[in-house]
Amino acid sequence: MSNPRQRKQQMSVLDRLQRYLPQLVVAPPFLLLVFFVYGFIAWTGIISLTDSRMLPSFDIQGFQQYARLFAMDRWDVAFHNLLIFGSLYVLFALMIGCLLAVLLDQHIRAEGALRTIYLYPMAISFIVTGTAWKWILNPSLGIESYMQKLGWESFQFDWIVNRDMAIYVVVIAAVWQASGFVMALFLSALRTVDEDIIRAAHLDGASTTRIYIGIILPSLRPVFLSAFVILAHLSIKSFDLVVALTNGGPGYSSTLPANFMYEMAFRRNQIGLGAASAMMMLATVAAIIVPYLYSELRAKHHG
Amino acid sequence: MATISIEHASKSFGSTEVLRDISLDVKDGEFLVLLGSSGCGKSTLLNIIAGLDPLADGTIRLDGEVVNDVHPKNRDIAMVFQSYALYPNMTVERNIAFGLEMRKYSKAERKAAVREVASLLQIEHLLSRKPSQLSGGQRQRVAMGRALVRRPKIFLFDEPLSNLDAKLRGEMRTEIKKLHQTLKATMVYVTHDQIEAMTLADRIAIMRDGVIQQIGTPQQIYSTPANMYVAGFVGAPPMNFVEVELARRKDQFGVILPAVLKGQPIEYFLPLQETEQLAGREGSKVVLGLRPEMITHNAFGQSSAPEIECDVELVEPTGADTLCLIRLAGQPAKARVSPLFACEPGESMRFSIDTSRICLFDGKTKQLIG
Ligand SMILES: Nc1ncnc2c1ncn2[C@@H]1O[C@H](COP(=O)(O)OP(=O)(O)O)[C@@H](O)[C@H]1O
Ligand SMILES: [Mg+2]
Repeated sequence: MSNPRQRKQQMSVLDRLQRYLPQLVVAPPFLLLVFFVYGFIAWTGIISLTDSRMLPSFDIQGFQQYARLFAMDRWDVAFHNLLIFGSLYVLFALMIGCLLAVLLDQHIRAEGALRTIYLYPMAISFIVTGTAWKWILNPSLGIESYMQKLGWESFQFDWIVNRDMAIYVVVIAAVWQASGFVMALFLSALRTVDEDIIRAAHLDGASTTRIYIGIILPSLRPVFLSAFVILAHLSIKSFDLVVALTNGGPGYSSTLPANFMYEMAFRRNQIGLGAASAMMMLATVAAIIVPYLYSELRAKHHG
Repeated sequence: MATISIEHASKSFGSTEVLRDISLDVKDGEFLVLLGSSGCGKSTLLNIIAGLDPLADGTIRLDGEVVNDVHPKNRDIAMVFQSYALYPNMTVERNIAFGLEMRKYSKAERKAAVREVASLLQIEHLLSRKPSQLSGGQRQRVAMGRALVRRPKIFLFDEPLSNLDAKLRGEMRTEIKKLHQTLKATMVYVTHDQIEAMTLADRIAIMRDGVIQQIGTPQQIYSTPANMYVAGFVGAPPMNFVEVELARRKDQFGVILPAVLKGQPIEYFLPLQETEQLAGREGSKVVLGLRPEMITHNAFGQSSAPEIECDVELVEPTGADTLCLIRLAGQPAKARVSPLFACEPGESMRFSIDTSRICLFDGKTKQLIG
């Protein structure tokens, strides 16, 4: 038998353990996060100010690398592609996802199966998506040759090998992949809409289209915002889809900034330049995420 | 003119029958209350009248015309929902005007109509707000405004007051009643609150599991309930049910009422009117329905009324009256007496019983027999 004094001490050790357990559990991941995410952001930031080539050096040279970056046509193309890809990808994924959600919301019979089918692309790796679409869109293997074999001799769909159109092929594949996810997001939100509101609108004489456009979709604004932020940051991070689908080509006509960064940092021994392009991507992400977080936090504050 | 006539209406969701062979007539300008506990199919019936749910079987007529396949917007019906169902993205003004907007009224007409309704409901100062910036009572008024602004011939209310606190509920109840008197429109009002039903209704239809149990004026429902379900649903505290035996004493027909006096069992005899339905049933068991106010202090009873004396187990003062808990035929029962005459718990007291208003039910079928 332990004496009461000892037991009391044991209790207090346990008590203390219980009190600090959450901190103890959370601390290591937190430190790892700070180190690997924010630490490396800072490190990349510093490298981007140096003249690093094959190996990192810490010889600060100011904004020389950024000046080089902005002078490169390759970066220009990549960033321009990001604007095209990002805006079209976000727009079409939102529109198609939203439309699918509204159609599925009509309590149709095979809803469960359809939902799974639409959602499935999201579970596939970008590499698989890219490869599959590469085959589908390849003029001598895919749709074009198929249609021509069917007898439509003049059919042409060669975007994937066309300098001006290659980036739109990336958009098509990416939209195909993301629409189901957006649909799931919207569908779950549509299901929380009070059915009586729809009934009331019917009694007021509104058509179903009018009810969706005029009443239901406007009330889903927060979902639009979340979907927008998720898609926007996905588009900026896009890398593997381009690698698998076009490998940046023809030439470098369909590269995105992430591909540019990889090319410079890991293949051409231009670590400093790669770091500068990475910082530009970070700035683009921040331009989207920061206002979002700000509005979210402000909304919380105001109740 | 606006009458509603429903004949043999049935409705199922999947394999659950929600409405079974409902027949119901609502007269022009009548205030009909559908009363029943939650899940008995009241909202479904209302939605069918509005045309929001298709009717599986039966016919529904408005002003004599069959409207089974008429779109809700063409039925000239407005509805107030329990959740208010305001359009969250529109201001109060647009919420109210939306129905007119859909019916292609001009901007000026809409504005004038909204002003009129808003002043009637005293919500003029809220017109530019969004529903999320309103209190429950204010939302309720806006929902009423949205229904009123179209001047429909029929109003449907689906538990419009059940999300309000008690005080506001009382006020709105009075306003709805006033509104009905002013507009003289046909109204169907759904509630599970029997006090709301009693105070508002011209007639009440009591529903249970998709079947109408009884339709009648509040007074009819209260004094001659068709069965034990209706009797127990209406009235607070509810009617006391006591299982007793029919008997004849000294040529007088009546029931034997066992009670407890000073801890000892005692039997009283209550003489009753011998009706045709009861004749020849001596010796059989029936259920005696006694409302608390039928068992009262004998100073308040009629001089000829039979009296019983029994132990009071508990006393519940409610202010205006005091409820005494007594034991009749082994069952707890409540008596309503004036606080001036109430005794202490544990003492015994004399009560007089108003036998003229007693209800008798068949123990098996639960139907009223006398
Ligand atoms: N759309 C529906 N699908 C399936 N069952 C329903 C539906 N609407 C109502 N019900 C069922 O019908 C019954 C009656 O519902 P309701 O009319 O809303 O009752 P009340 O309004 O009297 O509370 C309930 O048991 C409910 O579960
Ligand atoms: Mg209901």
